[in-house]
Amino acid sequence: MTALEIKHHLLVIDNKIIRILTKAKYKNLTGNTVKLNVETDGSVMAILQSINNYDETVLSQLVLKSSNDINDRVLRIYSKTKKKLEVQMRKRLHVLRNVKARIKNGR
Amino acid sequence: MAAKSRTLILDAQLFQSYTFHRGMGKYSLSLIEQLAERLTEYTHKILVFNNISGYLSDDEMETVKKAAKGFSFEFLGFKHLNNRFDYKEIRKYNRGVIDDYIANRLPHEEIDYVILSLFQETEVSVFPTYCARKAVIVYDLIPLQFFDPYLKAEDLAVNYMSRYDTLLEADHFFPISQSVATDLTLHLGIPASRITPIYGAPHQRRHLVTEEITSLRNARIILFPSGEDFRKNNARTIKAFEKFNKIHGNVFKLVITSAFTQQTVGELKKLSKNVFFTGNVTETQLAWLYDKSELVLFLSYAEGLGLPILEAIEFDKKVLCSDIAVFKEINDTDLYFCDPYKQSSITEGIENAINGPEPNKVSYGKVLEKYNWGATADKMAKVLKKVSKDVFLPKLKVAVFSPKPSGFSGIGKVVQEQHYELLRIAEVTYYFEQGISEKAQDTEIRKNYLEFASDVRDPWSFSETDRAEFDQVIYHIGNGEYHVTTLIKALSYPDTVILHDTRIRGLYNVVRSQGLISDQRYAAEDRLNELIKSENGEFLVSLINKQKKVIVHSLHAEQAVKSVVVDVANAPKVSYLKLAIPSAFHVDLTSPKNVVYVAMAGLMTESKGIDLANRITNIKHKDYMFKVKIFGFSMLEPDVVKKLTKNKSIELIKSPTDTRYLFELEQSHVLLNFRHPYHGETSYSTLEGIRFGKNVIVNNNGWFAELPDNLVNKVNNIDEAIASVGNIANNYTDAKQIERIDDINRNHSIKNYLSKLTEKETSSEK
Repeated sequence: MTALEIKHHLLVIDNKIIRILTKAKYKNLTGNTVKLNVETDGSVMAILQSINNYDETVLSQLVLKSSNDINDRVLRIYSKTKKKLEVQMRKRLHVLRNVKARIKNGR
Repeated sequence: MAAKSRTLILDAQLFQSYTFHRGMGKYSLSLIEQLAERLTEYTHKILVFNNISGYLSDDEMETVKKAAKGFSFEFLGFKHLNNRFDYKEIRKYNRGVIDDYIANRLPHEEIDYVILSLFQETEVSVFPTYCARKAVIVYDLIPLQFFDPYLKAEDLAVNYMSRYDTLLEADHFFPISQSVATDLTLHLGIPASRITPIYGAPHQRRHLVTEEITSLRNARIILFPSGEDFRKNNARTIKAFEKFNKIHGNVFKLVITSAFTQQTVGELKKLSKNVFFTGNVTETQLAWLYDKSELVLFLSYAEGLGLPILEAIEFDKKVLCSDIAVFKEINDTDLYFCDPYKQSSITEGIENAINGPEPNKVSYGKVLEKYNWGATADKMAKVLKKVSKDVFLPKLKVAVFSPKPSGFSGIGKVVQEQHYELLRIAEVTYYFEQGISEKAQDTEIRKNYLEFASDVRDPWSFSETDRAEFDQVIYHIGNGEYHVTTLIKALSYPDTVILHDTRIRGLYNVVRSQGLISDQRYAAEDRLNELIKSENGEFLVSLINKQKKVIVHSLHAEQAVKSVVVDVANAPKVSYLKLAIPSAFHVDLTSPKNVVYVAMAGLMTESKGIDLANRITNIKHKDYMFKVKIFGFSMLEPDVVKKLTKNKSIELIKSPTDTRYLFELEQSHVLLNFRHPYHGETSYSTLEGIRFGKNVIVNNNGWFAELPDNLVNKVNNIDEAIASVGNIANNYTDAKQIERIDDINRNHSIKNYLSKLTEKETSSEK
């Protein structure tokens, strides 16, 4: 599945969630575009249902392309000093080697 | 059906390397010599070699042939390892070689396959894919236990650790001492039933005609059989000797055997003028040295067996050795012991030994009865004689999400310890999390051998396609930064959650702060948390309600999970399983002499009642002093540390390795696990303490309260905890220790735990 667009709106009054609206547009496995539009009241079942939709659409999309992406993220977070950067670079090289090995092993 | 005829194959490639001349080579040769005549039930007995090594000379080959009477020899096309990254490829290739050999030459035989030594530098020994029994001789796990310094160089680490895949494939292990057997249980989670220590024996030099080393003819010799190796403790031993020798007018010579590089000799000679390096000596010269010495030193930090001690015993010599389990196992009454980490203790030890009485010959005789090659071969033959009863079932495909085993999360450690048993029933793929903070990512408190020895993938890469590949996906959930991806994947691809912590708001906070879920998603979870009040849990609602199966380790957690179930008809199956832990092969029972050591172990945080430490050291008792050892991964603030270290009766061991951690736990008498605040969570260190028979003091609520009363001491407040320490000292017995150890062995087995975890309809334990 590929997410094309995800929007998530909560209507909050007095710190209580009154309504959750999840709007998502994504391509499913067969390549068709699916629109998801869930609007709920504040009941347990409704919140749960809307959370489920959110998790299934948003979180399942959260597949980083490869290990390099993670290391890019990590690098962004921890590039404060040169030394820290070097540590991460070493790790990144290690990951790259693993990826190389995986490709070699046919995965 | 007639029983199949049986064939024994020994992988003997170690004879084709320099190892032939080292301890392992000699060990294997002596063992084979004795085994040959004992194994009559095999139709064929075969030694397999590779056909590319040019190392073994004709003379040496003759020696092997002479020892291995009744064995036939096969030279197969095994490849060597020249580039460490090719290991997996070569392993696969070599497996093909042995599989082909068996299929073509021994198609109807039942094969028992034994690897004499797995950890060679270039030879890659493998098990065939199918055989009745896969066994391996294990000399030690020292590189794993002391990975710093042994595995600091990446080359060495990769070469050594990669072989753990073959090691863990074995279904029977022959360690060379009870201590190595214990290491196998504690570090690799191998059950005791699959382990048979076979010990070993001295090389019987007593009968040799000795050959004098003329330059030492008139010297008073203290012999130090050593080698150029970190664990031999060379520098400290020489310094300690020098101090002793100075007091005695430099009349002694410290004679160090084995080959050292010129540079090391130069460095070590700077420490004392009275050391003498023999280099490699002949057997007859070595016999002369043992015969002539007044004392033999062997002060290693760790050993698999300690052959030099046995050799000294053969010559009726006094021995001063380190105070470690493997040496105490040889004889704990007639050897002299000292602390190998303290120079003063070694000096004092040499003094005591030189002036002490001669060894008790009866007691030494008993040692030699136990440690002889005949007995060693008997032990091994006894196991091999029985036909293996292992049944091979089709394996499940399981994915496991967990913190990396090398990190400070105890869950990673649990996962690694369960690997061996899980491997028996499943093909396992691991998705390890590295943590978010730099501290979490960089920590390496134990070696993650699964990284090398199993299929490990990047947790972020787990997708719907991967999901379809597995029969079961297991998510280990705790409340911290090592579970971020795990939570995300458990929410998107729900299956089996093992809940280690019932309060996971902290985890959601990390996930939100990383931008992985929106503030609204967090707010929605918070709202659910408010709407469904659970006394024992927090932030569980959406996670739990999606899963097929939820495993908890306490009734307390079971209640927390059940109370958040929304739709009873579609609720996940919630199972309470007793947290599993490897049983130790052997435990030395302790009893306090003058000092009662109170341990505070595990993750060091202030909630673990660290301020209690000061009060304990102030307990007044007519017989005992009370000392506290605090050890674990430190989360303490510097000022707390400073305050603690002011007290001389408190020892702080920050972030110890597993080896040190287990050593300290085993040496202590009481384990104090009183926590405030305590949220009812399970505590692995408590089980570890009970496993060693320790008295553990715990809170009287949550999971702690669920433990049987005969296993732990439950207290309600700090005053009761202090009083309990005193009471324990008054009522310390072996019987209670044994009762605790037995209980853990019976009720917390990894095998039972995993079979329940992976069965379709997991049933709860009572």
